[in-house]
Amino acid sequence: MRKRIAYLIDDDPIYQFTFKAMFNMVEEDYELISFSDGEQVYVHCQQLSLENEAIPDVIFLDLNMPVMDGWDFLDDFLLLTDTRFTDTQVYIVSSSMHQEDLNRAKDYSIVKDYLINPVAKVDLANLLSGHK
Amino acid sequence: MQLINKLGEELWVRTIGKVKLDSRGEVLKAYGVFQDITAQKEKEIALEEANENLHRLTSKLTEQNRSLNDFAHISSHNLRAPVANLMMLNDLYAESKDQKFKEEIFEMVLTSTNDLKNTLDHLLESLVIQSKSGLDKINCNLPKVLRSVLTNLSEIIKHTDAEVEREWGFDQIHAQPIYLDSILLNLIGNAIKYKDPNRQPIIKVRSFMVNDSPHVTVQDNGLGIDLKRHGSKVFGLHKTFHKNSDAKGVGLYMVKAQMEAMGGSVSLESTPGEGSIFTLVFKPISEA
Repeated sequence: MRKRIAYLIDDDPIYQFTFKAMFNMVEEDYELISFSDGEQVYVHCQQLSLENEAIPDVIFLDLNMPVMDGWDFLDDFLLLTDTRFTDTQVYIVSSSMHQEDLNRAKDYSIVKDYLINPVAKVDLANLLSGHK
Repeated sequence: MQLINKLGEELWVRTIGKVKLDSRGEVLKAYGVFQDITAQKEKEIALEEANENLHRLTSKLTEQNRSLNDFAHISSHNLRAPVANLMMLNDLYAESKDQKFKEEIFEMVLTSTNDLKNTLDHLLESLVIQSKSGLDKINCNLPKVLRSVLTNLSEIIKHTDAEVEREWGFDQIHAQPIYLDSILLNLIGNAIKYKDPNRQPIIKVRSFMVNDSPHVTVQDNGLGIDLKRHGSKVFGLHKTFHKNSDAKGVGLYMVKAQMEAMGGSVSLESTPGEGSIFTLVFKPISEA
């Protein structure tokens, strides 16, 4: 069986490093690919759609990013016409505990959950094993 | 209507009357009463003034409330991010056996600690600015302030071959000198930093009056910002809009905090690919 694909969208290289290290500790069936901003991923997803390539099974999305932030990304992601993307599970991973952000995330039905950093290893493991 | 009585007092009166006309429609006589409504009218005027004050106070409170909310939002994200990084790095460090990997983690702990310190410093600095509203304003000579800013930027100006044009409608401005210097440094520094790589950066600094409000604009021919996308958050802390590793997203937040502390405001017009104009509006001279 092919490896499942997870994306991390976060502009902070340190977070990319720590998340990936933790991710690889708890999970071997996934390949994790890191991106620094939403726009990159959106363009990439359009490409995958055109070429009928494997799309991500899970996306971990930061909110506070340059160029295209997490909200902008969600808005654009919803516009992708390829119906396969409706199966992609989106998780917000943010350092913000602000109620405004938590409420806003609830308005997006594609957002499965809102994880507040630091994300615990055990939570990540549980979440990923739920998707197999 | 207003009348003056024989004691020289101004009175507000209500008039009710009739006129008697002759057969040609000309006024023959008029009769009626003047009712003194001065007390009522004065109360009305006082009420209007109180109302206006209340409006002003409400909008000031709303503004303060909004900036407090911004502040809470900002600290929620910007302070927690490096702390969360540190916690995750600590866990990784504790669990990892590989010495080389441990060294790599330690390097990142150092970077995160530094980030945390910088973010704290910036937040504290902006709190200090907010609490010092309207302090120590003096008459500053705008061309002189600009010269000192350009001296500070001379390295990058030389490096990028940037040209700074100026057009002074007035020279003197009532402002807090350190803020004024920092605002111009930030705006001109940004204009150069976000230049369009395909053309020579040309920056125009202008001063002019609109009614009795002094305006200063800084215009560039740089990359521009997509305001439809970023409009509401351009002046937020740690918002960066370009993939520039140098961008810390502090500058515009400080510009806004400093202008507001001086009783002024800042706004932005921008077209991606063409450039941006920042407009600084200072307190009207009559209120300064």
